[in-house]
Amino acid sequence: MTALHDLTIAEAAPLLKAKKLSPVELTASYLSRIEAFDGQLNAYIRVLPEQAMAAARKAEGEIMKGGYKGPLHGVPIGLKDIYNTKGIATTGHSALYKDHVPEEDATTTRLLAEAGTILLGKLSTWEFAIGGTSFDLPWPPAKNPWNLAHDPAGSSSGSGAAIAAGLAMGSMGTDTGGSIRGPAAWCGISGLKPTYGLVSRRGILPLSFSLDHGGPMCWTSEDCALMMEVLAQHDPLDPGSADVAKPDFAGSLQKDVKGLRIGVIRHFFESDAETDPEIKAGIEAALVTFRELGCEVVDVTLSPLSAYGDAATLISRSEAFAFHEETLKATPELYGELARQRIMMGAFVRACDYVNALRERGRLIAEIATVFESVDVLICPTMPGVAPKLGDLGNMMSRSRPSFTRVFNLTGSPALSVCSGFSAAGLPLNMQIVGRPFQDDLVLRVGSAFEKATAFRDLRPAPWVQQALAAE
Amino acid sequence: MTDTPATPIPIEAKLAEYGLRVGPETLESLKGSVADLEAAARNIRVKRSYLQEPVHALRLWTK
Repeated sequence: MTALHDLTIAEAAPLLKAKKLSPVELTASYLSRIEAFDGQLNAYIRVLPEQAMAAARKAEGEIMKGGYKGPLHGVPIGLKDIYNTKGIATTGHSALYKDHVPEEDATTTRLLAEAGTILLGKLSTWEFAIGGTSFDLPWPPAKNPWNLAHDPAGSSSGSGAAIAAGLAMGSMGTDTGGSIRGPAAWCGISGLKPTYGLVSRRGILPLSFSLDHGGPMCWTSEDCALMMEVLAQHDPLDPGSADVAKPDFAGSLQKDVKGLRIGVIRHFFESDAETDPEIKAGIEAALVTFRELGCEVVDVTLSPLSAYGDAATLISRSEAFAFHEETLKATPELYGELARQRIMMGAFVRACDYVNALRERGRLIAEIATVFESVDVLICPTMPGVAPKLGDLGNMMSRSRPSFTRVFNLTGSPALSVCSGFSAAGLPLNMQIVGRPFQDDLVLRVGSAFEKATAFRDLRPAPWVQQALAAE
Repeated sequence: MTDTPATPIPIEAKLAEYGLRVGPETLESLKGSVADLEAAARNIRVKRSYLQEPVHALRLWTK
């Protein structure tokens, strides 16, 4: 029998609905696993055992009385600690917000609670979703469950680590330049940056208002789709929220991918950015799988990766500095060194360059829309390599290391990272699947079809448990 | 690209203007980051059509 912590949401939901699995039993199992292992992994900043068990008992009572709410009812989750939680500290993993207790939930926090999820706790993040893997903050950085000596990426580091380690069934991350997809890639899970405007940002600590996205991180793309069924709601209190019809996530997963046209942005990983041969081999193998599934695969050309990176950098630095300027000046000592440096860069962007970046963004959005006239989805790597040693990220913000993920924060496109295999060292490889605006359902269908056609979802990072036990 | 180069950003002066305080190591690292920003800005400094004006917020009409 599958261990409880290895069940996906899609596997657990029918058991919960049929009263064959108790939310109390499931939540207790996760809490004891967190208790046993998170001391080594650092995925959680704050665990909420009493609250979680109370919510689990409530969910169990509701289900027993015939009040089953849907596939997330009774499902234990974690939230990146930049999602506001009423009455529970939301720290941004920063000394500055150590005692910040919001008076209301983020819209997404509320939607997930209303769907019956069980909040296990708040998850580690890079400081304010920008600071990098830091060792000068009130809490240690999360580690990679596939190898505790390696980095889980960020900024949704705890969200990625918790899912891969079986310390939550679903989690929420945020993504301004790749912060959902990077940790999904290095932790070997599925993570969706939805279309800009599809998921409310209200009540999520801002970083860059026009590039920030909230989204789900799960073991499978199918589970991400189940979370998106709940998360994709118009929010009139988020000025960026789109008042559009919700994509049919559940219905889309029932369809196959035969006949879809896949565009490969080959120049991104063959000439624009230095990419690990194992990552490239993983992409090529994935394309073989997609051909076998009946997809047509063609190469496409966009502007060079650096064009996207330049515009995204100027916009993100400006907007982050606009949010943090006052506190950075007043209490710089309450920021970690990496966050302080990265936010400070915004002070050096000229107004005219920010405006030009916005103009360039318009051009690039138009360009990608043209490419999507001839293909259904785009594929490229998520990250150019596998997880390095913990904290050994170098300057990820440097122009010499263009990012495959920031491209789609700039264009607002839905973008999913999935596991595309494993390196010789046993670390996850990665692939990014990108769609037209508001076709998040199609992106998840393609990701799910790939996961079901391959065996990569069958392998869990068990060795880390031995590492953790050995370190005790 | 336009022919007129932008004036290099005076880092120390800018920090003083904003009242930002940094140590010597941060200053060195910041210089590299600012050079990146200047390069990024140079690359997108091209002549543009008025069609590329970022005026989305002023689309006040509804269909």
